[in-house]
Amino acid sequence: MRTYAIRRLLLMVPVIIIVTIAVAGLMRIVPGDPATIALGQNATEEDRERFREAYHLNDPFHVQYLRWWGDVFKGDLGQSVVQRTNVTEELKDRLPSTIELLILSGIFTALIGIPFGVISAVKQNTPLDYLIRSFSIFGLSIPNFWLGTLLLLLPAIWWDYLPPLSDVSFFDDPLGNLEKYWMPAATLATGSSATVMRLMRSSVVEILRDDYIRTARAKGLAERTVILRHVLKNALIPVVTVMGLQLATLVGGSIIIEQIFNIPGVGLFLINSIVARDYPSIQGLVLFLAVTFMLINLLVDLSYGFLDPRIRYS
Amino acid sequence: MNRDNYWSRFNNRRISRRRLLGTAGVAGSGLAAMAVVGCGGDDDDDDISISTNTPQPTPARAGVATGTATEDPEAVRGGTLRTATYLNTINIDPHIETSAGLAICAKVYGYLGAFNTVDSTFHPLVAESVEQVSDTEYIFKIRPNVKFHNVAPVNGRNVTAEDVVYSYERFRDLPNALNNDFFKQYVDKMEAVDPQTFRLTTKVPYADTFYSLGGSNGFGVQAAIVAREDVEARGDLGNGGVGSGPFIIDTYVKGERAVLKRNPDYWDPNLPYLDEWTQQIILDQQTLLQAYKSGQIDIQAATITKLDFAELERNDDFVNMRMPAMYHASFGMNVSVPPFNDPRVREAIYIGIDRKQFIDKVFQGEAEPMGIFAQGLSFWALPPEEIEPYVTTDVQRAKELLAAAGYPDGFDLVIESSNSVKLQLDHAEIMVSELKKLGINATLNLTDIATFLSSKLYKGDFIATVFSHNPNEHIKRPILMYHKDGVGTGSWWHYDNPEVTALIDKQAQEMDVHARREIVYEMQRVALADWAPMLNYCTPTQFVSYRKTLGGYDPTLRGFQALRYTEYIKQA
Repeated sequence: MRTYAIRRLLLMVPVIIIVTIAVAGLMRIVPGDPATIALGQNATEEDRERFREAYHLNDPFHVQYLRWWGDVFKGDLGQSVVQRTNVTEELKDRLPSTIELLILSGIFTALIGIPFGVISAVKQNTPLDYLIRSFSIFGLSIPNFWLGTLLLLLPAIWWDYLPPLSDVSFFDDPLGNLEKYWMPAATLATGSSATVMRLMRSSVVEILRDDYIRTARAKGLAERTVILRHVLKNALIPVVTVMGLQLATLVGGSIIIEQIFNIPGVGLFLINSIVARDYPSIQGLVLFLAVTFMLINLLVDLSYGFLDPRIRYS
Repeated sequence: MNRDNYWSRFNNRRISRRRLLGTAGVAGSGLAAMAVVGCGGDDDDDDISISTNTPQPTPARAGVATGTATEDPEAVRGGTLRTATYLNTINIDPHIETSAGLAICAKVYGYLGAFNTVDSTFHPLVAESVEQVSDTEYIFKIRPNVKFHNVAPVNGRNVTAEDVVYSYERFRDLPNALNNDFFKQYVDKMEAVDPQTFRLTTKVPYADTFYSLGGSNGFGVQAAIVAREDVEARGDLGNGGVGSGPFIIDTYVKGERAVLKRNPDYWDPNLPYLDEWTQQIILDQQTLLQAYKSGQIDIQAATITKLDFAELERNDDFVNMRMPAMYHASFGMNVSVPPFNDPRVREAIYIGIDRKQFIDKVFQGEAEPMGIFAQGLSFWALPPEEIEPYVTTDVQRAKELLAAAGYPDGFDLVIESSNSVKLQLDHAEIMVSELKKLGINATLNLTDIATFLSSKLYKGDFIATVFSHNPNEHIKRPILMYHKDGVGTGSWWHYDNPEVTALIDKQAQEMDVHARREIVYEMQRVALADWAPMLNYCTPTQFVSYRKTLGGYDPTLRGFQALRYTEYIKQA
């Protein structure tokens, strides 16, 4: 497994280079001048030229790209031309909010998707199964931005209730923090928990038909023991894969949720940077997200070995 | 066009000189009465306003304690004013920030004075008085008791004329500073004659001198007074600084919120009435509106529709009012190439489209046709009866004009616009259907806002475009859109009318505000008669709402209100 992990880590390097070159190149091909966006309509051409010189935007592409990597190796992801702040500092400020949102979403996903998937499978073809499956279809179909808007507006209209708008650290005020984050996390978890629920159901249904489960029942084990000790662990293998991939997908889905629920996270920073052609911010964020995504994938793959001892890494 | 409406009456009100003088007399009597019964006695000998010839006095002087709170039996000294905005605050360096962050700067920093764009009066703040020695020379006397905040490294020292010189030179020279053309192009000298005397000399008479020092750009005032040692210690003021304003920064989290606390050493001991002022950034408009309804903020800040406003009007906890907005959308025509190089074609567009379609479909009837300036710039805009010929629909006549210009069957047209701004998109889509009635086959080329602005609009690389304007509280920027040199980058429409350009240049140097207005009127008449290349659709209504527990707040004063510091909380 160690060899496998090292090989995967080394393979990340060319992938990151290709991704960052592609993003940096594509952003510069797309029409739109960062100086114009940053300075607005009242700027003169001299203002814009001075801006471009200050941020090295007139340098050849390969010079800009290599300079950026030089800064990255020093721990500096670049200077945002629009926010006029350091990308690394901006990430540090915003990352905790996004991470918390993703972790809470993951918890909601697991807490809803796994148990209800198991129940649906165990109570296969009963009214309870149909009800749970209906909810999963609902969760898959509903756009999360629509759901989020409803979750925000309806309590505000009916009960004058709105989640706290200011961001507060979990360590300073855990209850206040959870009060702000539970609603967006639940919104974000709707689609992913529906996916997990369905996958869990089909996985459990399949395993319930296996011989060793029949043996376990024949031995007189309680049904709960059969499910929790023998079925669940094996059923989780594909589900863990999907949940890991979903975590990366959630980052994209969090952009709109961050806006609706006023969460100063990474997703919103990314979309604003793209709109404003903020090249350093985009490159820094893409690098961060690419590394994160690949590490999550690696962790998911490595977790197989723990879940299923039969799996060996060549 | 419906003349019998609020805006028609509002605009007609300022035309009659007798009415203006009568109003001035009544308002002056009111002010005198307030001076008798109110407090703020230390400032009774201050100049009330400069650059007079004003149509009517401002109801309250900026930054000077008036009787507002003390006359209100429900007023509670102290309390917190909670505000919010959907605009992201990039930073709060007053010399760099051009948007929502200026609301924070207005509370933290001191300014020589506040310019009321409603009646074109200048009200000294940090300056105790100002003497206009000539058309190009201004002497400001700095109040001896104005201090910077008692925060390191400035530690509460007095504000001096040297600070003013430093601040304005910084604003002029910062590479990232914007809207500093006054200091770059018009200012000849800035001197600290002595610690309490600041002299400013312009190269030519410039009518917008006071506006440049204390007027809002639609978001706030940029010519703030900062301390050199503070700038040098921090490197930049993007995350806050030490000012001499009525509030001190307690918390600033970029892109999220700001909390300001009362400055106990503010030069007017009676101001501010509040203990705390907060600003929250809420990017989503619906969330912003709900935050107001649920009581988390005191002033409604979302862009809302007539339907949303109707709901607010049903709530007895709110003060609700309508006023003309400062923003609008426009149809821009490149007059250097066919077909719009022919004024008959431009005239056909002007009279061929039905403004009511835009008013009804985009604003649910809550808007008025406009000429050159938004109705929010009511002091400068031509009265409705003068713009009526340019906003009246006559499709038959429009078709005749097109035929005379060589387009009897219309023509194909590509309209550049952006799909990122709903206001632009809505107007653009309606424009396509309106042009179809004239036989003009228009198609939209929609791009994201960055591409649209940098590749199309600012470069003048279009035949026609639909775009929207930032709010403007003064004519300084909007009028330049008709100048042959344009705003910053040259005329986007490639428009060069020597008479219009000359009138724009002339009004910029006319120091008498009434005479200046006559020149501006004439400029509008000439530009409209030439079927100006920027066709402005209509001025929407701005729906204003704030809590009844908020006193001393006058939203009609716009940016000037931000420098009055007269808000207070009433007992619930």
